[in-house]
Amino acid sequence: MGHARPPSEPLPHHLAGRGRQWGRLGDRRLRGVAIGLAVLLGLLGVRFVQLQGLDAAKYREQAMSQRARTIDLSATRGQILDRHGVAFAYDVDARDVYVNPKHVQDKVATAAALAQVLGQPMEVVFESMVAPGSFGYVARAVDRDVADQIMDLHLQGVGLLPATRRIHPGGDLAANVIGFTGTDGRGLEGVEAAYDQLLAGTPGSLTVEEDQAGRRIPSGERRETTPVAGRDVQLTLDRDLQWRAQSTLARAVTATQSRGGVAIVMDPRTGDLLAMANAPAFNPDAISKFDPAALGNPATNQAFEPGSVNKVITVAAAMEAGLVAPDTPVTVPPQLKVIDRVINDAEPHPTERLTVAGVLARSSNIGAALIAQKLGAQRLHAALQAFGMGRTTGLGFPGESSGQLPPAETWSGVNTATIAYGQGISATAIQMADVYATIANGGVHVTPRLITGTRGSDGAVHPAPAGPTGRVVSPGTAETLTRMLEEVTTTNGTAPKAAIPPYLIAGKTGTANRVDPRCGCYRGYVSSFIGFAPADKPQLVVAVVLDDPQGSHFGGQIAAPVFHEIMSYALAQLRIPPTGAPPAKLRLTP
Amino acid sequence: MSVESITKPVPASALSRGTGRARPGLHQGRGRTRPGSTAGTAATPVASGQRVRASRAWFLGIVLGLLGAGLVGLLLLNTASAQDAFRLHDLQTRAADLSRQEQSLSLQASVLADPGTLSGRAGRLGMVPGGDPQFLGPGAPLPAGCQPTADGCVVPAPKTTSQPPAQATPKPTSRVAKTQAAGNPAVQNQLTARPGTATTTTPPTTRPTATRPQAKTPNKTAPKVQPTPTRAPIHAGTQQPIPRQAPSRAPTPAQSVPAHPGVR
Repeated sequence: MGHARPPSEPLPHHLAGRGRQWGRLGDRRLRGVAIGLAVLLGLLGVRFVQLQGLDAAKYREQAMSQRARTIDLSATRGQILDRHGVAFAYDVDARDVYVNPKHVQDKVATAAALAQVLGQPMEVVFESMVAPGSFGYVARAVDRDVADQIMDLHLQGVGLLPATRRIHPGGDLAANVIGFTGTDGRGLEGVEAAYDQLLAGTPGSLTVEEDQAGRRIPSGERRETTPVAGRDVQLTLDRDLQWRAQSTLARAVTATQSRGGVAIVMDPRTGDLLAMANAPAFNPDAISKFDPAALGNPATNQAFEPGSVNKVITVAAAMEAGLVAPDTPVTVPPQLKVIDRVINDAEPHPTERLTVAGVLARSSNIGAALIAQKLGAQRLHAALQAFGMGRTTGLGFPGESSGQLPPAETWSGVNTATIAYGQGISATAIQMADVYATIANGGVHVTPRLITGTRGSDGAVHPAPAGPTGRVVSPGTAETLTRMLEEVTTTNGTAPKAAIPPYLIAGKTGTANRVDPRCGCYRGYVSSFIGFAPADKPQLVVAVVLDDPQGSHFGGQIAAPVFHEIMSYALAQLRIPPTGAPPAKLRLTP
Repeated sequence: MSVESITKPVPASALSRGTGRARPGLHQGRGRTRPGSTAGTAATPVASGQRVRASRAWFLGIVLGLLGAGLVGLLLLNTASAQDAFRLHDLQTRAADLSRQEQSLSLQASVLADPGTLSGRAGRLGMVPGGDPQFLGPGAPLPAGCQPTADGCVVPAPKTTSQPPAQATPKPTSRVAKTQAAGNPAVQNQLTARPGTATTTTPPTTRPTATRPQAKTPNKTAPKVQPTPTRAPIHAGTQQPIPRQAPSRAPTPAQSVPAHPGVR
């Protein structure tokens, strides 16, 4: 009935009486109301467009943010495995314990209760209670069981946050190689640092709608970005061999009161590092208790003057140049004066006649210096360079040292003589092991490697690319050198303690003057033994270095027994049989 | 006009159509008239009015019923989805519990399998490292007192029981023969014969194989707890632990086992 009639149309007769007046007046009013309504409606319309059209996204977002909660989904950090897939380091669930100091009523009681469960001194826990602000960590990455106990205490103001904890089942096993992670889970040292990108993965997130009480709305929106777990990194290390090398080395370091030591087991054919042990080792689960300087990997990061183990390079270069053969006689005087320096042998002796094989077997400094004088600085320098001195091995270990090899132009006559027996240059244990691996591998250098590959959560394995290989000395030189090195481990050589009958063992002792970085002078010794077995079919290289031993300091006396123990275990464990070949029996005197 | 036509709902627009005259329905109860019906003359029967009321109630019932059913349906649907949420929560809790259990068990296992732990436990059992392996060539006589078994041979420990601890590498006392030639198959079946060792190169087993020739004579200096001389390692990681003292009462099955193929 609400049809607005055109004003001109006559009203029905029973309204007609006052219609005239009302009509005029009503028309105006009606119009006013209509306009008012229209304006109102228009305003509403504008507001509607504004809310639903222009600002819609903003309001939708605001509404969503009131009930949506985004949870960070941390990606599981990849494991670090040994060559057989046994984990050296992996992540487990843990909880961070935090406190809101403003909500803690009885701080002393709360701190006492927490300290007891956490096994920490109460003062440390209490400190976090009185800290300013409304959030502070009491403990990071605590065990789930401990977290449960804390939950059961129902402490006001104390809460838990999900976290992960890096587990090292072997404790200090290969710790120097594996390194460790920080509280943020990022790698700080060793393999953890070098392969952090791969290990870390990509974190994801989960967005859900929740009501005010924090319950999920079942029909609500749910957006999930799946975290991509980090890749596992598989090392070339063999856990058992690593343990044997590490425990043997640790015992030797203690027994000889050395500052430290390195033991390396390597497969010369592939360059695989089967063990890389350091002493002292550290516990990656309690890094704060160790001297930060001791958290590196001395095997790759600490250079030392190699000493007599360097003589193989001198002899190899002389043989390559066709200057000497194993039976070339060398007359060794009691002392050798080079310019202003007098070179001595380890033990005083009258003038003696040795062969080149004898110079190596008896480790005569004077003999090596005489050979180097024949060779000249240029050719010795070239050989040292070819064997990898003065540059990193290509292992890619963080903080790897390249050692020091001064350019040949700067060498004086004295340098040539001393570098011949390994004083005046420096190299890392891994570099020296690499030199012997090259000889063991028939003169072909294979870049050492520590990683066999990475493995994704889907099980797909990406093998690590092989490093470059290259010939350093001829096969003939390598073989002759090996036979000479066999003499070192006989009763006529300097290291009969390295012998493991019936295997043929080739190797070389080293007893070098140690550079004390504090005074920049020589003080103490570095004792070493590097060798390989079986000599006629080399499958393993073992290098042992003891830094600053007290008491006896001869490589043949203290490093060779360590070599013996590690090598004999490795041979048995890897089921490497003796070849049964007869010993070389070279003439050491003409 | 028929009764049927009256009960039919009339569109509202139809009602309002027509003239501005007073609607007859206003005077005649709530009965509705069709448009075009003669004004004022349509006397609707009482019976018809009751039917209208009844049918209305019926309509209301349907609507309310539908509404109610919808509501209940919605409730059920919500409950079902909430049920799923509960189930999801329960399963997630269970999964978390299980994965936690798995983690703690695997941690325990890996700590137990750690070579250092194993070595310590072996040491507590009185075992010492095996030392250098010994090799027997084909046709070589067995070491004195060796009891051949399917996969190895145990050589009695020296009489002295005051053997130094693990670090010491005892000198071989029963080395039998050197390998004759390279590549000889016998080399692959090496027998390692250390004083008091029980090691071979065949995969480790935990079967007790050791026998002690002087088994009947009780060893006075033997430790009270006699470890069973198992074939070396419990785990490949151990340094081939060997019993420091063979048990005075040796397990018997070893005697009946044939000699190691590599020995003869």
